[in-house]
Amino acid sequence: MSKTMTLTLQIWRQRSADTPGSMQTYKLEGVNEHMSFLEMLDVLNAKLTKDGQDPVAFDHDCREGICGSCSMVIDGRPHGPRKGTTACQLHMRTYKDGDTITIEPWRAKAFPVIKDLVVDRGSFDRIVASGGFVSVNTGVTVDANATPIGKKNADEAMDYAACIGCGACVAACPNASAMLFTGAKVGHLVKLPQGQVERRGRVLRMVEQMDREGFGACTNHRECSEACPKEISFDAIELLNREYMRAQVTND
Amino acid sequence: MDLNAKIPDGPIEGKWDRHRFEMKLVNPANKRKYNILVVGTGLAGASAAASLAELGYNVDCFCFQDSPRRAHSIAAQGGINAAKNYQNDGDSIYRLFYDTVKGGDFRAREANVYRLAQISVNIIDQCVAQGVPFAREYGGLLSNRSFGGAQVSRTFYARGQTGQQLLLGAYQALERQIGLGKVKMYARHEMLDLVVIDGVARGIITRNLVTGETRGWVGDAVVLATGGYGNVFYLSTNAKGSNVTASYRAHKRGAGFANPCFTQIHPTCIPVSGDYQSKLTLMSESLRNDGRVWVPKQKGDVRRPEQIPEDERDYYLERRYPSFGNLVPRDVASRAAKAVCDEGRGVGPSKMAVFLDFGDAVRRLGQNVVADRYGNLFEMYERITGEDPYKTPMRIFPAVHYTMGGLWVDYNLMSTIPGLHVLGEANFSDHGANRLGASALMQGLADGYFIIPYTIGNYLAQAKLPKITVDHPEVQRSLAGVRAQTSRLLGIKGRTTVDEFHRELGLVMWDYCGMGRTAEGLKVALQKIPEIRARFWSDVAVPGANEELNPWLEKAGRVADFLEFGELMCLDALERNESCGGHFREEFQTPDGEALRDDANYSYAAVWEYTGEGSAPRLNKEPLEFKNVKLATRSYA
Amino acid sequence: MTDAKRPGRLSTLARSSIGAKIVMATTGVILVGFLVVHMLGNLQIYLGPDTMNHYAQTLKGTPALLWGVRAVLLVSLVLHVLAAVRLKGLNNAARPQAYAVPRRYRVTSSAARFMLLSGLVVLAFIVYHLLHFTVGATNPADFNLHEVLDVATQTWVRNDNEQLIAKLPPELVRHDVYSMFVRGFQNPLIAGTYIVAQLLLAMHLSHAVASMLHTLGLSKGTAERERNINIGRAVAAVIVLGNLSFPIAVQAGLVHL
Ligand SMILES: Cc1cc2nc3c(=O)[nH]c(=O)nc-3n(C[C@H](O)[C@H](O)[C@H](O)COP(=O)(O)OP(=O)(O)OC[C@H]3O[C@@H](n4cnc5c(N)ncnc54)[C@H](O)[C@@H]3O)c2cc1C
Ligand code: HEM
Ligand code: SF4
Ligand code: FES
Repeated sequence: MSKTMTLTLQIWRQRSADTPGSMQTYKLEGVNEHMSFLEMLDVLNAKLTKDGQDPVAFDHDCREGICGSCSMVIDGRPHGPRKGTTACQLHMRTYKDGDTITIEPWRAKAFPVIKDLVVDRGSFDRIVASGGFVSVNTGVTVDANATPIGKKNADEAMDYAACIGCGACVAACPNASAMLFTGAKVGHLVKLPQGQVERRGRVLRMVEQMDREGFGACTNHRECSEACPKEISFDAIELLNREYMRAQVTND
Repeated sequence: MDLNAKIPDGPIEGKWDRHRFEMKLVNPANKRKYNILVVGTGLAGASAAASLAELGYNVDCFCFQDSPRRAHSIAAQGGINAAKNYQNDGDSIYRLFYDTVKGGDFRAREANVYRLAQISVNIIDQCVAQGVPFAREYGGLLSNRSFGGAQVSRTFYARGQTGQQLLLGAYQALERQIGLGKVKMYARHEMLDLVVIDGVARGIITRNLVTGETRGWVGDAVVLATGGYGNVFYLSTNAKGSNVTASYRAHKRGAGFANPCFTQIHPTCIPVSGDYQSKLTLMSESLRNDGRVWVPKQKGDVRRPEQIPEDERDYYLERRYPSFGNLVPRDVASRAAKAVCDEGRGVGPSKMAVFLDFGDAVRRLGQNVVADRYGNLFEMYERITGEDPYKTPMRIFPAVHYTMGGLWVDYNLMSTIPGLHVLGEANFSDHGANRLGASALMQGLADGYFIIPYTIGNYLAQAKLPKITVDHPEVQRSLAGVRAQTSRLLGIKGRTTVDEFHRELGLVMWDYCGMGRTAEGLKVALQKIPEIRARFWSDVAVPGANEELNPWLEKAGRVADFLEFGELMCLDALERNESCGGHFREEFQTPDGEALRDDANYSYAAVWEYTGEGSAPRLNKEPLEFKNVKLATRSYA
Repeated sequence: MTDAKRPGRLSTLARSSIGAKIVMATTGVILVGFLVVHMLGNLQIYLGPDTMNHYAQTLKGTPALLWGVRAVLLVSLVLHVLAAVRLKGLNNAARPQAYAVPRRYRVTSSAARFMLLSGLVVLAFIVYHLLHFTVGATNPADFNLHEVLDVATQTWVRNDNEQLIAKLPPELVRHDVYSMFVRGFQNPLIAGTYIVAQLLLAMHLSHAVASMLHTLGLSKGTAERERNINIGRAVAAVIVLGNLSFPIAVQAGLVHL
């Protein structure tokens, strides 16, 4: 038989971007240990709805750790206590009966709160739009195997490309810096021959956009990579620094 | 309903080339005068929006997530097929075409499938050029793996995150066009109606999910790439937001809905653990490359799997299908799993699961190799179940995964409403009654990158499109309809949550329109669904208001559509008195339990026409002709 | 955006967040380098007054070098402080609303989180230190100590006769740095101040040196990064232990007049 537990939840409630919010306390009984964290919130929301209260809004979609929608700081940690795990993949067996759990949205100027736990991460899209791509139009005729790519480089590119754009790195960073996210995209493309042509302009433009969005600057706390559910290495930031410095002294 | 598929003449190999030559072109300078509305940013939508913008069209693009990158395509794990024959194992365009038609149990349109196989090779080229980090061999060349329903290795992959990497490629191309100002992106916008003016699709109505603002958009063509409707079952491997709303509302405006009952049940998912369960998690089909599926020979064998000796295990797939073994197509594998569980030989707490065992693979290849191939999937399994698959076999069970049915389209991907084009999983597509693994990604990208950019030009070059604005009475009428539905949902203030209704519908669908269907059961469902629907409209509890972010209001609208659509699915399943692919009517099976097709009577696409509220939908048929692949009973033995 | 419309390299660098980091790191290299040299130089205190005062004399004897180094250091320090303040401003602005529940950090240190604080204390200390030992404004009595060269014996001897010193040619007079040093640290308040300041410098450097290596992108992979973190701590420890030894040795009477 699976165990059930009673929890005290403290959740950030905020009606809209321009109303102030606050932490509210809820008691929730009958939480099954095999539930996912978001299923636990579903249960809370069903209860709130039935009680005529406003349920808690949170972003979610895939519920399997890949879409990057879910975004909440659980007990002071983005995505909660388990390493390499998104909030949607966290299961209640991590907790025990009687626990108090606090839940807050990502906090950063570039991620304004829309409602409760939901924030606007459009800034990430704009960073990508500023240069996080290879400029090829549809209709390439070069055979995919025409340019061999060493397995090591391909694997490293994939390591960086695994980023799900969730924003936990920003939430975790004491400076709300987006350099892990930006570095991961720069790293993905710079490891591949296809990314070479636009190498210089890409990093300059992406960093410029990142700054314009109002993210902070890295001071090497390394909290981002620790919080990253995809365990993107802190190398991404060192690489971003190197690429940025390189861009200062090279031409396209 | 006009179901002319507009298949070009000539031998199948040359149809697409010839069609491309014969299609009308829009002069490059004129392209910027056209405005195209693309709904959806999955593989199909993002690739279409980016490619159309590259050509010069102005594109308005919509998705309901907070970013186009989060479309459900992101979740695809296993891979994408292409007839590259890089492994020199005898693959060819023809073989991919053949496998797909056969895999679909001869219920797909040959010409489309052939084109899909042809284009498959360009997709890989395109994606590599964009920087998609496919898996590679030590020599630097692309690596392949095998998937169900094929005896060649033609599946390209990027670890267990192929969909993510392909989508990021398309998303980046899309963001590039957004940066260039050619695409205007509207995330957190949900399409709630299609605007049809003088019989032509000219616009959509959306609700801004942050502010609640409903507004109309007009354009010269509408492209729907809004994905599949597996969530009609409540529990499925689809993302929580996946829905039928856009397709169904287009259907209500006149678009024919083809083969709605063709659903794919994926054999390898993590079993349900309790009634709080909100979704099911797929374990990639690629696991069947090295995992062996079994159940105990004895009913009620309660020993731990490690304690059951080899000769007391039934590797039923290897036993029943010696040549394909664990790699039989999905429908076959799913039904076989259900059959052994129905016999009482299922495992795990619910007894509704079978083992997927990597013991042999670990012994044969070593834990490192197994970890290299499947590490992230194993971790995912461990996170969800708390069990370690290196030590104990995984428990798996089939789950709803993909919907082959969808809006009917012709060879040009245009629905029965002129100007409304439908791509990706949202159309009734190329997969017939069963989709082979790694073919959805291929189809979505083929539609978006390589088909719609041509065929939409052909449409626009010939269409007479009077200038209209959002003030057009038809736009205003649709707008009023959408607003009325919203107020109605918010006004009920009932006591039952949206999810409770959705779950209830899901159970009915799973019980009567799931893996095994009977005429009798379907009739029960057809009684129950309207009854649930009636209760929904009198007792649903939708908290909050329209003028704010309101996920429950969004969900209520989607469930309202599922509650109508589920009925259409059951009707379609009831009408099709045969078994084919994922549609298994228990009355129609061979003595050894395989699907029994009836080609003489059911070799057609069933296209349903909406005839108004409360009135029975009308069935139209597009006959399917098989000139290149001989109709035969599928055999994977 | 075409490159023609882009702002010039220096101005992008100056305005960007990574630019500020690079300024921090390059000025950091210079400052840390100076600290190492400075500490090693001061170790000569243990070799007695003659060595120490000779060293000081040599430095003064090459004014071009001395002022060159001072200029570089001053510019570095100013840039370092300006960049630090700018970064802090940026970073504070990046999170206008704090978390309601304190964040639970996994790897960062208090040193890393209070860099500006430790930096400002170090800055105050630098100002004090310059006034104390370089300008002699705080304790002029300790500062105005000299040795004169006894031409007969070719040895340097202490002389407090200011009128005499003012008349002597410069080759025959040198600053008695050794005594200044010892007398300064014999005052427990001053010794205490230096010790506290060094502890804050230790805190600053324990993050700073590794941080600088990361900013310059010098570690590839976790193993190298761990190594650089340890190198950083070691450098910080060497500098600070060296510096700490001076007031302690004087207080303990190991170094005396
Ligand atoms: C877990 C899983 C694994 C899979 N693995 C594979 C695999 O390995 N290989 C393979 O080939 N296939 C796989 N598939 C299938 C494949 O992923 C999908 O069929 C395919 O990605 C669908 O793409 P799409 O572009 O048609 O739609 P989606 O990716 O579903 O995108 C739909 C888009 O439409 C938008 N949308 C929907 N409704 C509305 C609305 N009303 N208003 C506005 N926007 C709307 C959404 O925001 C989204 O952007 C897998 C599927 C699942 C569930
Ligand atoms: C001898 C004096 C000093 C030395 C040797 C020194 C050295 C360093 C170094 C090496 C760094 C790391 C730079 C990087 O991360 O790239 C740093 C960071 C920093 N320094 Fe100093 N510093 C000194 C004085 C000061 C002063 C006077 C301030 C006062 C404002 C200051 C404030 C900072 C701050 C706020 C940082 C943090 C930036 C970061 O963490 O990246 N430092 N220092
Ligand atoms: S780097 Fe990691 S934490 Fe940051 S957005 Fe990407 S996946 Fe999320
Ligand atoms: S809901 Fe998709 S990552 Fe959590």
